[in-house]
Amino acid sequence: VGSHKALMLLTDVLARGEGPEAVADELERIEEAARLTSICGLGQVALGPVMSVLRMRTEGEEGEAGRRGRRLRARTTLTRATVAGMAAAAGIVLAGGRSSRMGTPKATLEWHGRRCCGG
Amino acid sequence: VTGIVARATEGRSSWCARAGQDLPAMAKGVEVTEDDKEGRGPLQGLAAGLAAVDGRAEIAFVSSTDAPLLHPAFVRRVVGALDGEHDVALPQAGGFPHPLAAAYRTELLPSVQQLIAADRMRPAFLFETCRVQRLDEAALLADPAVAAYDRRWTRCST
Repeated sequence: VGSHKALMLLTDVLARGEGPEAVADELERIEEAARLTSICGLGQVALGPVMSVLRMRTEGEEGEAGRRGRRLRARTTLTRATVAGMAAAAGIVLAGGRSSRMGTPKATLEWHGRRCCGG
Repeated sequence: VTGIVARATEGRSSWCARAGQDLPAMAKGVEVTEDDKEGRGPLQGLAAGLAAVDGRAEIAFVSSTDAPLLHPAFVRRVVGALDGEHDVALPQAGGFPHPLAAAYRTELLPSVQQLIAADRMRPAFLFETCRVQRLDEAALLADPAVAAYDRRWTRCST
């Protein structure tokens, strides 16, 4: 039932020329309900690709879409924290020094016009 | 990469560079740690990074800077896999271990420093002396959040 409802929502917004962000809140509720309540493994992950696209489209963007993406990530973080004490984690990124073997300092590498090491 | 790691670790990130290195703008919350010992490889960088976060975190996710396809879900998966029985969560993909996409207990700093003092500069030497949780591709993809985005993490580095 959830998958069918999500399909109807997406079909409707795509017909209007909009993206999945237009129904992100509804999709998020349906996905969560399906993931938590479906007795079928396939049903639990049926909306996974849709949520993945939604996260990728909102990742790094400003505005409501970006905030929605951050909410989704925060939920994932909370789940991991419950399992493994994620709250005590830090990150370390190694700049690569002169990168003599590669021949170019890794810190200056660009990816789609932006330095890949940056924010 | 610094932004992705910072977001996945709730903003507590350190960027290890050699002294005087040309640095781009960093994401909010990212500290810069300069390492004045140049050309000593990743273990030297690991030591500098662990020293930078020592006392502020139990676990550190360590990444190389040339990993533009790194995803927060991957970072969370690797960090989340580091349980109380292990000191390192080490992804193993494509037939190789990936020490610069791994999670380390920050209390490993003295062990790393001892290896450096003995001029044993390969991460593999560290793995001989601590408890390593190796994560193959199946283990990583067991996390729906990792499986959901795609498998580019297997080739996220340049």
